[in-house]
Amino acid sequence: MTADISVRKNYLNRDYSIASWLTTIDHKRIAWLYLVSITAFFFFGGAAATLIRLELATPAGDVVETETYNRLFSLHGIVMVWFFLVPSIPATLGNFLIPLMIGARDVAFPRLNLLSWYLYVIGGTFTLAMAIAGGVDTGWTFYTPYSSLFANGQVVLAVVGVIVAGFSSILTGLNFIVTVHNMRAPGLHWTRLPLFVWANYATAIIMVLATPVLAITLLLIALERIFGIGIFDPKVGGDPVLFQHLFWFYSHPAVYIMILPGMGVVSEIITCFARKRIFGYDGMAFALLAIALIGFLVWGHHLFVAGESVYAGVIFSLLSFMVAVPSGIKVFNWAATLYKGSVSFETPMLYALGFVGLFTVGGLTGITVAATAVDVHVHDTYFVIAHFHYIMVGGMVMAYFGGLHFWWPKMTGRIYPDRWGRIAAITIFVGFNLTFFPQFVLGYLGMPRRYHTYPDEFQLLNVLSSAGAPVLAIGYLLPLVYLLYSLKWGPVAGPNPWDAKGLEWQTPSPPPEHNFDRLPVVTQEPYAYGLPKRDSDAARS
Amino acid sequence: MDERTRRNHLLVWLLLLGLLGLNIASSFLDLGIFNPILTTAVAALQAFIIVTFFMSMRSAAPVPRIAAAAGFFWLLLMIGLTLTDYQTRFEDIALGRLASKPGWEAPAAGRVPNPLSESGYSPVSRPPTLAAAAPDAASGERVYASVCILCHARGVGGAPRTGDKAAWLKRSEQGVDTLVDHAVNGYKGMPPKGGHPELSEQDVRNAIGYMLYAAGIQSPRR
Amino acid sequence: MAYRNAIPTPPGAEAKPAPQFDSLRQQYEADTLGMWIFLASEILFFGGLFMAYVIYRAAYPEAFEAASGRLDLLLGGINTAILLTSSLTMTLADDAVLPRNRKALIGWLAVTALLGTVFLVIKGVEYSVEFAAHLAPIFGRPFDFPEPHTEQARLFFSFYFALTGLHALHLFIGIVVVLIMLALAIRGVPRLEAKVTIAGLYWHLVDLIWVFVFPLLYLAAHHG
Repeated sequence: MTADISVRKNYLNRDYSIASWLTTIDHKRIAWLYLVSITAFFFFGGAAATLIRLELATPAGDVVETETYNRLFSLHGIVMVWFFLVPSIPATLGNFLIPLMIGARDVAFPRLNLLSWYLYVIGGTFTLAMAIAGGVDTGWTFYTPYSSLFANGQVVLAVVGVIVAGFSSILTGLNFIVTVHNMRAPGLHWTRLPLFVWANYATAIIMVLATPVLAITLLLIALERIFGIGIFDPKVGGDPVLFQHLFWFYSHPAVYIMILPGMGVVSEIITCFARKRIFGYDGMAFALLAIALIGFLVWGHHLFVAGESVYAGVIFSLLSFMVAVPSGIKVFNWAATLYKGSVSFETPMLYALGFVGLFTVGGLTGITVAATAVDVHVHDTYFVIAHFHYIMVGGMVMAYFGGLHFWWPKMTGRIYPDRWGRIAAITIFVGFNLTFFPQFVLGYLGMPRRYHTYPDEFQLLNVLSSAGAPVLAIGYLLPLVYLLYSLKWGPVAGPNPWDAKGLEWQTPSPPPEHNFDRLPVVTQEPYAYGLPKRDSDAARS
Repeated sequence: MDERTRRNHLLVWLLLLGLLGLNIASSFLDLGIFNPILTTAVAALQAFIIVTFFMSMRSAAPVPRIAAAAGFFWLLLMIGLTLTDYQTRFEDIALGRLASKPGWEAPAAGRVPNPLSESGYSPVSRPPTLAAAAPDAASGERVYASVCILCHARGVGGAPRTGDKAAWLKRSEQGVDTLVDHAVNGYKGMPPKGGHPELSEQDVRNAIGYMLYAAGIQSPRR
Repeated sequence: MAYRNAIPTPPGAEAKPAPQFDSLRQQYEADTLGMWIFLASEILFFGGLFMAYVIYRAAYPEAFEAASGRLDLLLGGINTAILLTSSLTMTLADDAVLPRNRKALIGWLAVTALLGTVFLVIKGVEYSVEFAAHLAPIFGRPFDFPEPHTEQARLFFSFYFALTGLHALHLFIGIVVVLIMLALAIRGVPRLEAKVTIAGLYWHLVDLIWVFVFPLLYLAAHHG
């Protein structure tokens, strides 16, 4: 496009005032608002995790009291799930990239988009207030009747914060669905949609259809605590297991809210750095939707030992195994994309490869715990903790960092030092495995979750795990440093530093306020790597 | 305004009011299980009419149609899969109330430890007016859990459901001895000794005592 | 109101879509689709409560029947009729917006808001009667219900207040939205059709939810 990128008007340099940021309806700026606030919550939740690992370095409860420990892991869970993982990729990268990838000027409802950020901030404020006022000790799952009748913490503040953040999530999902349906550029058929867009579309479906159930469920807790309307109160014949059904009807699909966008990011990165079109595009898009749908049918596997009937347990167990099929399709297709590709190992690729490996471990152990007989043994142990951290941290956080590094030049127009990027990626991978792999063994040996003391024979593995935590923390702090550094001193990126094919790379970096100088017309599939070059690119401008 | 559209909307409105009348009228008839089925079906029909005519689904584009259908479909998914649990639980949720029954929940004093009972305790106060051999609800729980539960947990064949206070109150008015007689010799859908001849009469009595407890009935009349 | 192949542009009105859209038609389709997705979300919001109610009612049929008998069927029935009628008037307002029949639009919107308000007033009367009869198990107030169903009747009334309360909140929001439409119509703002249609969709959904709430709560008892 143009060479004098530094003087060009773009979405970043058009106005520097704080007010222009807080009232912006530009999806790219809203993505930044999210990025900043989500990063803050990520390190907030991470601080709680650090204290947890510090406490668990010794068998005795010496760093914090039992009560404090309960509040720490509850805070960690609530912050990480609802204020980092759920909005992470959709609200930052999704917000930034979806309109760019489909050749639109903005999302369908820009003001609604800003409203969802404000809702997120209000929900976050409630959560901070909850933490300052003493926290909750219910765990992030808020199980009744403990949360509704007995818990002494700030349960109302906590659930109201989550409900408000949930509405933010619903509005984001709604916006994405309408944007993908109605705003695609001419020629951008569904079969030419980048997998990142497919992934966020599937995620948005879950957000819209599952989150309201969470809202009503947590609202019932708030009503019970404020008004005394007891719908899960066993004293009047209420069934606490029903709370778990309703809660997991959201919270299991929410796991796919957290992982599907990561799969989208990884698909984009792997195909770019293998210089090869994605293997089995149709299967990949289909698998994303299949995971979103089947993900709604498996929630009962969280209730195997909670009093659910054995028959229902069998049904939910079988349905849970089915999720492995589309997930397997994805892993095999990533592997097949790499096969005979000209693979290079830039920072985003390291994260993406890390994702594939760690997600596979997390997914396979998921099959293990989906078997009812095994689950009775490992339920509520560190095995389950390790399993979902391999999905959430090993999967989602890796993908989030990978995506951030991949599209950083597009978002900022600058390149970060790749060597430091690789060091950070490898540090995170090593630190992660050191932290969480011992927990598989611990759980299998029978160490239960949510206790701050444990028998002496578990100490070695716990020390290993606690030793991994600071490595992981350094790995997460490094990008904060060099990415910020690159904002000022990084070399100018140019529109397409990776020589990638998506529509978003056809516009200058950083993009102008309305994304494209002239609206693109799409004539090609999104992954035309290794195809004979045409004189027109995916976008003609 | 288009007169025909207006007339159609008025007709739709009359139809909705008619269905409302039908629904209210049906609640004055005793149709047994069909009462809730009928009222829900009529409500679903009303909802369908509102969606089709007032919300213009008839002339809507395909994607909003799918969105609307998805809302209802997902609701059915949620209810259907949750019912796989509730329809197949042996221990009915009504039993959950056990925990809060007097004598079972936080009895301040006089809780009698009973190692044979699964809950670890015997109920505090025995019903004073029982026949000579008073039922031991704690050991009755074991008989219940191995035999009676199969029918009484869910009310198979008209059996009074465990925890259903009204049903058990009605029966307890005949006196425990009559209940024991019916249970030992068979009565209507109840097979003699629940089809387990190895049980003694005292076992049966104990189990009945347990089920009366589960229903929250402290002192059955003779 | 309906999905139309071409939205006629009224003469003189400078019809321009919002900057992110290419055409008014695209904008209209996006608006209606967005509203429908929101409504699907609302269905599941209330759906969670409905499901819990169905499960408890199946577990305690006799208690729920007895408790339902204490509700005022007459007022509930009248309220249902009022809400169904308000859906009609909302539709008539919607019918009036495209032919630019401003008087009819203003009239029907006003009637709709009025009917919604009447519904809330009647609901308030019901609430006060139930509070006086000690049937409201909230704020630790006394709850009187004859044995043997005292406890599960409490459960029933918890549902009654949760369901009708949330519905009343939605209806209140609906009334505010309709009043905003009314203000816009009185000020003569052009091109209201998309806004009125979308407000109408929300209004009808609130009606639709009540159509299920009414038989579940009020018709659980035999009145014969």
